[in-house]
Amino acid sequence: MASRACIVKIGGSLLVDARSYVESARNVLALASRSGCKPIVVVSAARGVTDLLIRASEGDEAALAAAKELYEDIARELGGTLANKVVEELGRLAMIVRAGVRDGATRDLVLSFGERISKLLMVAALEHAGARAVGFNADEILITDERHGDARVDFEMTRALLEKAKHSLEGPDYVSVIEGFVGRARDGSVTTLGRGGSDYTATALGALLGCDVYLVTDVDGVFTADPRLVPSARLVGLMDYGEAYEAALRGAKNTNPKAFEPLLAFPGPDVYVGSWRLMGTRITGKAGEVPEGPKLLTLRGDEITVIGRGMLRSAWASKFLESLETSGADVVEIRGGGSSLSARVRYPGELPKLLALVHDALLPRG
Amino acid sequence: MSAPRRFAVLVAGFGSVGRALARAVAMRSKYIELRHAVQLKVVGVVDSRGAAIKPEGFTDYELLKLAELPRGGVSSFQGYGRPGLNAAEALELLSPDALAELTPANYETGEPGLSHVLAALRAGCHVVTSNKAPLVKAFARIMDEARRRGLSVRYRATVMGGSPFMEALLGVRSHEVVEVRGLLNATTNYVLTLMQERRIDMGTAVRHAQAVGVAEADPSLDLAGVDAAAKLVIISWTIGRPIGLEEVRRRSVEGLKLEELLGALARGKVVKQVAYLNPTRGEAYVEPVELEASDPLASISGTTNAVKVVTDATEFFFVGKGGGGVETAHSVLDDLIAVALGGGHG
Repeated sequence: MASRACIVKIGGSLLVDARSYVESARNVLALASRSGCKPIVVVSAARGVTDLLIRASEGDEAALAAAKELYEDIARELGGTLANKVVEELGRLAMIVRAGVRDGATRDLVLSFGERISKLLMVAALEHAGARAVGFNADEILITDERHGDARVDFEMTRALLEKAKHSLEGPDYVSVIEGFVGRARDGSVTTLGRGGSDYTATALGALLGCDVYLVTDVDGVFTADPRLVPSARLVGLMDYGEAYEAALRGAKNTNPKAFEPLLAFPGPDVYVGSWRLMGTRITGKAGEVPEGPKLLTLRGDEITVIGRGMLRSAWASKFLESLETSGADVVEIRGGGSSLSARVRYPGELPKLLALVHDALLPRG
Repeated sequence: MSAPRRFAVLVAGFGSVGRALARAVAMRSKYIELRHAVQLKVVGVVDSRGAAIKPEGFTDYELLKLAELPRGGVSSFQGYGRPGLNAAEALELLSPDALAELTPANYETGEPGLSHVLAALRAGCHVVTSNKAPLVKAFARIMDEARRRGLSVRYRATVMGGSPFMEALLGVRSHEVVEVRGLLNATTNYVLTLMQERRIDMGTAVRHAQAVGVAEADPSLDLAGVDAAAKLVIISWTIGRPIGLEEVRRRSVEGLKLEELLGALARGKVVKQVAYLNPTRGEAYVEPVELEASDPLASISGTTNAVKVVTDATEFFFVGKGGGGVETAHSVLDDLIAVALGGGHG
């Protein structure tokens, strides 16, 4: 296996049943071999599990049973010694829920089982696919503040732990797997990192270890606009950290902007976003590699935002405002900063139509 | 820079501390080798059903995989498993430099830990332990055996398992320790804190503590104060004024009702299970006590432990984590490194 490490984060939409765990395992190995890097896999919970656990943490027995059944089925199919570990962990989960203490720390602990068990299943799936794999515990490596439900990584403490764990995590003859979304506060309690937390785990590890990150999901990358609203939307090939952060802030692709904070703090790695089939978008920190100009648009409520380095330059800004006016919109409010410019509008038609018109004006094909 | 010194360890007991130790060794081996010139090798792991042994020492990968096995499963470890092999036999087979004795405490007989410790010493191995029972039952005997053979017995992990408290205590060897007073049991402190902060009854608090792994399936040793009393005994031996476990007056917290705790709170007091030792007066107890809110111990919450030590020359207040699996494992690891580097008696 290659000496360089890379982080490969697998989204929950791709983890549904035993077959998809093994398929993801095979895909990780293929991606790693194609890119020539040694993969450190970050897993999300299986699809739907987090929502079930949120309800379970409030005492919903049916939700708890559903989550248990989902994971038990996958474990049984994958077999091996880890299957027993999964059953053990599910037993622990039930005990915690039934003990009946309801507070932020306990809720986080309950939620963490989603990712932790997913990690065990991924280790089993990788072994099934013929690789050697080892699970690592996020709560032994990722230290956070005490903000339960939306914790922030403590980079100093985490970096210190990673220094020592590095040679194990980057071990040359096995694949390391670690759960996303989960960390540990200084007081010892388990914390969760908020919506999109697994992306945040992946970028935090990538930033601190200085290695590239692959965020694998069920679409081919970041699009120039929501393809459901704008038929002419296409992939954004290249963006920089600032653009990606702003895009997330303005609601693009349901990514939590927190996921880009580690990269802004410790720039270096490239982040690839896409599917197993195609890593369509590369997000880079190298200054100057990304040209100025619009990269994508978002629509939130009555606000259209265009993201791109240099959008506040008069040439780009006026182009944006012009396209809104030409399309028949009244601009009610403008705000911007960094790599984005937003306009709140009044428009006689459907806003997605306006979005498409502005999109085609700013990002013409060819 | 000297060549790293190879140090082989047999681990007896593979519960949460044993597993955490295997993981800690795997993840820190390079760091320990670079920083301390010690090449720590786990050459065997023994649990209740058998052992896994590898004289050359398990690789980091193998240690991490061992830690993933179900309870009682080491003898099924691919290629290295030896069903039914016990610690004494493993000691004979491997002749390690040290035994890490991590089996559960049995205060009636001290077994199997006591036999493990004595077998190790007789086989010429140093001993590092997190198991209090052998020390409580036979401290003098163990230390004599060790002394006669020029071996080390270290037990920092037995008291305030997550902190180097024993080092602090050993650091005042020229003093006469007058008083030791503190909160020495993580489980009890966690349960009492939870009850008072969340206003829940003991049953619920204990169930929650069990669920999150802070209380054992049978928490009575902790709640009744036996664990804390055992720690006082070990402290007493360490400061050279030994007492026996039966000399520690104990009152369990199990009888406490939520109303009593809340009543105390209303009067500005906090109920804690205090462990106390006064060697000159020959007084030792582990009992629930109503503390003034201003008492430094009153603000120690959750699984944190704290001890005030008063000597004839100084006093210090030591606050630190109690023994979770990971913290205790690190204490064991630190003791192993100390022995490897040539540290002396416990």
